[in-house]
Amino acid sequence: MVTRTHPREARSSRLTRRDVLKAGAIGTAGLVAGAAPRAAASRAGKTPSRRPNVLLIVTDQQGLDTLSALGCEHVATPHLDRLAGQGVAFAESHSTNPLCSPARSSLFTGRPTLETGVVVNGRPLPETMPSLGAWFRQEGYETLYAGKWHLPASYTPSIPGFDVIATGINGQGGVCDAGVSRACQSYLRGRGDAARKPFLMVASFLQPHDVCQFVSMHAAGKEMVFYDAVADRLPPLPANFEFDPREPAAMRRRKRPQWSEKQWRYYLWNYYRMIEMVDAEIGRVLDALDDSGEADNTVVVFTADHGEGRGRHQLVTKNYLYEEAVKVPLIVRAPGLAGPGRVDRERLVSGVDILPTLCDYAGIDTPPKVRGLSLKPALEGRDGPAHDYVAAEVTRTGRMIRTKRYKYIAYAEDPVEQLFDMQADRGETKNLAAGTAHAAALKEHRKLLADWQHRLDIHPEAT
Amino acid sequence: MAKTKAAQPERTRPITVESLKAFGALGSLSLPAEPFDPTAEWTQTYRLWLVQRYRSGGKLVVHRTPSGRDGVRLRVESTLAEYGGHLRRIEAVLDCAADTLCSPRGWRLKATHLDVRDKPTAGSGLSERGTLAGGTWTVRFGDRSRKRKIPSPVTSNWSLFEAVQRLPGKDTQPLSFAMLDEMDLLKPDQRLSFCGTKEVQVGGRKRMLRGYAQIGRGVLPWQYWVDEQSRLLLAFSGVRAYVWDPKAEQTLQKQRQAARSRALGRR
Repeated sequence: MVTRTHPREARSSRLTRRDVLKAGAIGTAGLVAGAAPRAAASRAGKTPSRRPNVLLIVTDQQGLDTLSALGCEHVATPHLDRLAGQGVAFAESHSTNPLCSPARSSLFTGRPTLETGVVVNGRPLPETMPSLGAWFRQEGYETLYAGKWHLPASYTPSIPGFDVIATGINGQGGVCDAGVSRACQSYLRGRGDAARKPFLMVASFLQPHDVCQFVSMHAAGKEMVFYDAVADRLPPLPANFEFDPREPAAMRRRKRPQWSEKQWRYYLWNYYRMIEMVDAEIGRVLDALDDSGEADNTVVVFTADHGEGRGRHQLVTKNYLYEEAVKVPLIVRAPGLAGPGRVDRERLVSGVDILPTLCDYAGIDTPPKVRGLSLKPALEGRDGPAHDYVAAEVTRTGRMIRTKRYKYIAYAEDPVEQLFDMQADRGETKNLAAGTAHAAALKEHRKLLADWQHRLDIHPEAT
Repeated sequence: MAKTKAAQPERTRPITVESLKAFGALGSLSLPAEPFDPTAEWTQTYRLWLVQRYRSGGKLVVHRTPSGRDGVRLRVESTLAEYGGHLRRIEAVLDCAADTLCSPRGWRLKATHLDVRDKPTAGSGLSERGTLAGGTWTVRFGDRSRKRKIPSPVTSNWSLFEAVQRLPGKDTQPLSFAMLDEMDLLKPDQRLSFCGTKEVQVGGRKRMLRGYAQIGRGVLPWQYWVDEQSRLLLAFSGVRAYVWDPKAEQTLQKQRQAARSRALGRR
């Protein structure tokens, strides 16, 4: 990806204490002991390790705008709000490929899926490609993994470079996520006071992926069970529920036209409860990190592999390139942050940026050919390289280029291209590719895509 | 568990009393003939069914003992079979008030995570004690503690398995409360109310079940169904169902043995 020096003063906004407390009054303000990382460290009387620990929290199928602290009115996420209040959130955060295995292949290698070759679910990482666990382990980190992996197996007791402390159950986030958080809690609480290696822990939760089960179980729409008690609490249909029918054919596969408005809204209500479920599990892990006395010296990164349709463009689940699937939350809490509690609404970031950011914080080299950029300079308020654009892929043939203003989507075997003005039309409702008014932008984005692909070491099984 | 083609369509249905019945989760149950008193000492064992492919995934055992004039002790064992032969187990003892919600006052909890060889995974072996008093939740582990204020009334997910067996059916007034999942995950704004009756064939004869529905923050709706004697037979939410089944332990052991053979055989 092309990089340039990013202006130091990125447009950002700050989460106010009121925002955080409003959504998470009990989970945050109610803490009496073990509340703040600093307090926890001093209570435990421990000297932080020299190199920082890393806690990477990954959820599955959680769209960007699903935190109450970031403005979602239909959900209560006190623990993620707490993290956002202490960290920096990125509002232009993108999955590299909005499907489980592909997106995860990028998170753990810093490479786009055209290079990892994981362009569909259930493929392994290339054995010769450095990945997060092995890379940190060889640098002296204790590396632990709990939960979903999906490279290739969704759940496995054997993950390269990691000690697996909890596996999980495929497709059952509502049941198995508690095992993930308990395993992390147990490890963190029991780590002991003796000086040890720094740790890299991955807490990989499945929720809110259970929405896939919900969609599957209610595909016909006939058996949806409604509860009168929530009738007045159902979220409204999204503003971009209606859509331009002249879409690439691949976009149309996951629509649910047979659902009534009430059914759509009930699906949304259920999805947000799943977000709350995983928020509680994340809270258990964050509390345990505080209790360990290591929070002051731990870089916490929270993100998701991809988003969820939520009725936008009448879509459910994932595997397409609209914002609802491709945008994911990204929050970083780390020592030395400039302006904790702020939301960076300007910087384009991608799943390939996670690994180089963690390497930068750990003070270790980034593996060769990583395409992402460290966010550490920006998080610390310093100048540093930034993406002029980010790319995403889907279903072998779908490609996306996102610049500050425009988003371009094209499928290799589909004549329909899409170009959206992301400043004027964030809901992606007006395709500008068909007219002539934006021909120059269209041409520019086609070229960006071609150039980007040309620079990659494309895996033989990726196309 | 049936694996015929005829059973396939059930796998894509949401969990309801009807879909559990259609899949055969209820038909083989053999309920005891003797009377059941929900206020006495009892043990209920549940098999955990996972809706995706309707497979067995673990068990839950709740043992109730009256404790003094105004108390109830619950012993809980929750076991979940994870992929690769891993096993997650929680054992808890809850001292509760003998009130409508079986509200916890204090508890001890142990959580372990075992790999396929029954060896604890790295760091596994959590042990904690907790109390709930005056609106303050306190948990102690090792030489440390954590406290927080929580709303009242408050109960636990396990307490509800006891409490619903003492509710008066259609005369139940809706109950509002906060819930502690596994005694530490706070789920506020819960509401439990009567949701109707259903006549269902269970264990070879028709039974009239009474249902209660729970809705609230951080949970997918729960439904609890008790029989004419107020014995809790079914509890389900989202992708999971607990079905009364005294043979759940045997099923789990068979499943674990098979998982162990698969996992170790591959190595």
